[in-house]
Amino acid sequence: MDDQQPLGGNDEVNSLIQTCLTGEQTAYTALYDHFATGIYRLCYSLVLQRQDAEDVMQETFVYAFKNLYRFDATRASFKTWLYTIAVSRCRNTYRRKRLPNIDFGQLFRLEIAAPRSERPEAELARKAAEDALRQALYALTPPLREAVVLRYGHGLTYREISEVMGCPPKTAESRIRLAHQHLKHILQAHGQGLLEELLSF
Amino acid sequence: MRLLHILYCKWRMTAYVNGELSPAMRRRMARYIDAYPECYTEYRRQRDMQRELKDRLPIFGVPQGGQLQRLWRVIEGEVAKPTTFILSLPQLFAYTLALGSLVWMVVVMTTLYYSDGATLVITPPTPDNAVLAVETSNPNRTAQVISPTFVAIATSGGFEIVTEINTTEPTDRATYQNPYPTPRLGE
Repeated sequence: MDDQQPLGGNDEVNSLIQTCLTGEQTAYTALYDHFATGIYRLCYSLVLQRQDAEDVMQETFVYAFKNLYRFDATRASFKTWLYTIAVSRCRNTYRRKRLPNIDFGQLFRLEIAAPRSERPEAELARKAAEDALRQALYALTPPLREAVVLRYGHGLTYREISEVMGCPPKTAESRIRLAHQHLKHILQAHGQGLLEELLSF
Repeated sequence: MRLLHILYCKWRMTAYVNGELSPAMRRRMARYIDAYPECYTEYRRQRDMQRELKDRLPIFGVPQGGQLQRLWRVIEGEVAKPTTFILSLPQLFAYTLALGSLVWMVVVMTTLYYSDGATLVITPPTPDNAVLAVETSNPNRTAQVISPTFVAIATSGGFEIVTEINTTEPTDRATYQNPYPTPRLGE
């Protein structure tokens, strides 16, 4: 697992789930602590808006915790199950937000203040790199974005990606290949500087 | 052949740099990368892209301090709420259909239970129930047998049911038409 709270692995997660099913509140908290960062990053990378990402994350965890008895450990890992729910909720958000919407945070440049330890130029470079990546992800179609985020942002294998996205592994592979091609074109269209900016940070 | 190798190389390069090919395919790809400069260029390009995405994406959108705790409080509250029973459209249709069938069955069963037993039973016509036309000696009267033992007498005032027909002395009968093989009157 790539998230902040270390757990032993699938066995420990499954044991936590069993504890949750007995009604133990601390087990829910432990599960949340373990998966929250990953799920938030996934949602944010897919919907690319902070408020939407928070809403989707809430829906995901509320649904997962209320339907925990439906999880079958013999069919998929809990991580895959949770990611499947999150991706499905993100797709609902794409559908609801077909019309272009305005990100007021970006419009007025309302940015969260950088920690005092971070130098202004480092902060600027970080922001620039993040914006470049956001633009690149935004330019991808949702299936390509999902594939590339699951692969590189969360380290899922092609098989796991296919389970989460509900497609054959070959389709997952071709989506990642297409995403590579699109990203190459997008970054070239933005000029070599953008690519170098990404590479240099 | 060279062109085919290069095309194959470009086709599978992403999977190659992601370590998703079988050992045999990896060896084949490695041969092509060594042999063709185009394949090597493609390999470098894809590898760089893969490395950058692998480095950048895991730190993209990392939640800020306190954000997850704030979200947890909301999630905790939502999970603690009792589940509301919301039906989807197909479920609503199925439940309505089932309820309608149940109501219909109850109505039918109740009607049958409280009925006086005089139910109409439709049966196919049989020879025994055939209508026999009988013409009487009186030109103003026509007798019609509606069953082997009942006779309807047609008069100007309407029909008159006559029971206990005299089957031994059919003196009134002038003609007798029986299209069905029923027991003949008086026999």
